[in-house]
Amino acid sequence: MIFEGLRWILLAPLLGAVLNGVILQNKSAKISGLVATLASLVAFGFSVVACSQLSGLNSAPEQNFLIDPLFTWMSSGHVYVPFNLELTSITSVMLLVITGIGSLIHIYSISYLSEEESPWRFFSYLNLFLAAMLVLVLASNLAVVFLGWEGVGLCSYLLIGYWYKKPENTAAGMKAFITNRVGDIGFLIALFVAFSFFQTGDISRLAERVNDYAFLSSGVPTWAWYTFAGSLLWAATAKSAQIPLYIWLPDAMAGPTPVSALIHAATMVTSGIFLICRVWPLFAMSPVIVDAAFWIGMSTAWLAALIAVSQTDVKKVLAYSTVSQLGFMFVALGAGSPAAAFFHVITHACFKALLFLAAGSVIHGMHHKQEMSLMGGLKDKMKITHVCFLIGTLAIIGFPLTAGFFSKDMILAKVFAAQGVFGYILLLGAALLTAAYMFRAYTLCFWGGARSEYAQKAHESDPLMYMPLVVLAFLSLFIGWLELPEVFGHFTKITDWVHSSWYGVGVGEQAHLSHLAEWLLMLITSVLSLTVAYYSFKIYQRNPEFKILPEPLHKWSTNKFYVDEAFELLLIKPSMKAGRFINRISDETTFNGLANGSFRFTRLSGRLLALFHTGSVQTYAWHFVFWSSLIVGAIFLWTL
Amino acid sequence: MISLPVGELEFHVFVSIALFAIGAYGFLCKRSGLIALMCLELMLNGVNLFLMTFSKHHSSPDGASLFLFIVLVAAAEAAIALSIFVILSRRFGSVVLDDYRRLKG
Repeated sequence: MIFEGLRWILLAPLLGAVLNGVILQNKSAKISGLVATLASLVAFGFSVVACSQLSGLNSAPEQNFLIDPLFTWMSSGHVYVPFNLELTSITSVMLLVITGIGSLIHIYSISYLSEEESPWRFFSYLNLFLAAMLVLVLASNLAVVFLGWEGVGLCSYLLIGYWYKKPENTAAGMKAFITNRVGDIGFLIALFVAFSFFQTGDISRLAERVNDYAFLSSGVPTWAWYTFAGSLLWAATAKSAQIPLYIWLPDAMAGPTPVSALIHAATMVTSGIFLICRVWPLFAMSPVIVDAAFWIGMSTAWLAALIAVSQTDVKKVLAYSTVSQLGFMFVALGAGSPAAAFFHVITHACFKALLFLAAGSVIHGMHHKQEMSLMGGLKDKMKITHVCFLIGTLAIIGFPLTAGFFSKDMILAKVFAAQGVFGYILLLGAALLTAAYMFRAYTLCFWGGARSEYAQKAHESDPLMYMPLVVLAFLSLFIGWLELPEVFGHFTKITDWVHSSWYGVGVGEQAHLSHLAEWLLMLITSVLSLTVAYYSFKIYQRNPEFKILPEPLHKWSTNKFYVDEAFELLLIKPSMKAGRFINRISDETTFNGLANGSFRFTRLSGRLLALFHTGSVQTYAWHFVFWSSLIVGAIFLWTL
Repeated sequence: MISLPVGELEFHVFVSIALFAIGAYGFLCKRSGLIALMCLELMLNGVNLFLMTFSKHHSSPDGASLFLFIVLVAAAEAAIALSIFVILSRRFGSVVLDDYRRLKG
């Protein structure tokens, strides 16, 4: 069905970005923030309307989406790219998360950035980010998705480097941008494969290719499927911060905390997983790549969790926790359950945004000190922030009946069903580490005595900042009820939504577990997580310096397992050297030579010609006679 | 029109080439600007004679009409050139072409 309201979802934040960035420059945080928040709320309003329209549709799964045809972007040969917006059920959930949490974070930012010099810049970028992210999720064609994909990368770069006067911030921005560019190559290759082998970039038609027997028998090489899935996975590892391209995300914490909450936890970093969920029927054609996603996710979940347990900066803990949770989502994809992955995307968006905003509130109260060794005892001074942070922590470790409990339990159950006990135990280990480092962070921030004068003078933030926290805390508690395990009754909204966005292309989920197995898994996970959380809480109350990992693991962990150094040594230095070499032979020798040569040639010929320039009219006349008779003579001889 | 008698054509061509050659020699070699100017006119008239000769020879009005244009332009050119020489001779006190070398800038 055609619904023309979709374009306003996109245009509202775009308009807000232009208004703040171009027309209303140099306004205070209140004015810029108000404009940006309004733009975001308008987008949210239209999203709600669009979603209610979508849920009102009762047609066959093949037509169960809204479409807003805008214009033809390119048309050349059999490459036809229309700029259409399309709302499927999976997109609608994402849409509500982006605009809803986005609006909350806009509101929060008004207060958070009230003392900044140029808040209009921040709000303009933030709105631009929303617009780009909405293009990413609403686009119906992979080429248009790529536009949004690049757009969010750009906004991420701009916002990480928002405090551009500190060189390490701009360096972090560049690192994020370059790492994402490395991943974008994968996206481009997938795009080329789609256009040249599947003959379309349209996501719905791509999905139909899987069931199109005439097409399948027309001889598409197997490697085309593998290349498509593999390069898409490569692109997702960059955007969604997985091994080996996760290195940019922890550094991205240099940006303001609302940015970390919105872009680097809730929305942008999940876009890789979201994209794979959308093209899942094609992706699942390559079982090897699906297995690769499983192991990439598993190792990332472990590595990031191992780093998180020793970090001292509260935002760094949350950043590595994000990487680790994204690993969980990849594991779910690898276990053949995009629904579980997408469910975790949604719940994670809520509780991780909450945790980041709560951490931001703490940082704001501590006068921009982020070291946990300086905090302590904040639970009495920042009561609301404390409760919200606690709820976020409980949700992420999977406290029974919170959001994280259902989504993580679903992933664990799917992994148990698909990969057996071994995969389950591995993933459970990562989940237990989550409980350990999250309660470490929570206890170090809020319990014990104040460990610095900043902590003693800390104060609760104003309502503009804690109201979004309360809303997100509410979501973190209850959003998990969208999808219940079978033993809790048959309520599977997320699975239905994810499956219905494949345009009727059915992909079977694997074997179900028995009820007893489900209960047992749930019990084991919860009891172990809560035990670890309890011990972590007790130990860090008594000894804030406690090391979870034995030496030398602890030392490696504090140094992030030397991954950055390895990259520096193996990739960055050699490519810098290669770059300098190419610069020397191409730029300095060849091109400079050409440029200087043409200049020297002109100068020399000028000097030579100047010799004829005597000023004597008769010399000129002689030249004229001589050369013209030469030319005429030559022509005469030629035609003879 | 009646074409030229046999032998007349060669004579006319010879005269016009001679006029042109004398004009060219004078223009290239004489030091005085006024003589150079006169030689210029001589060259033009050599060409004019050439044109008229062949116009007559081919019984075609093309050469004759071109001749009229050239006379017209030559008259204008002579007027401008002479006035330039009046100004130059006031400024440099001479009409010798070699004295104008510093006009090259």
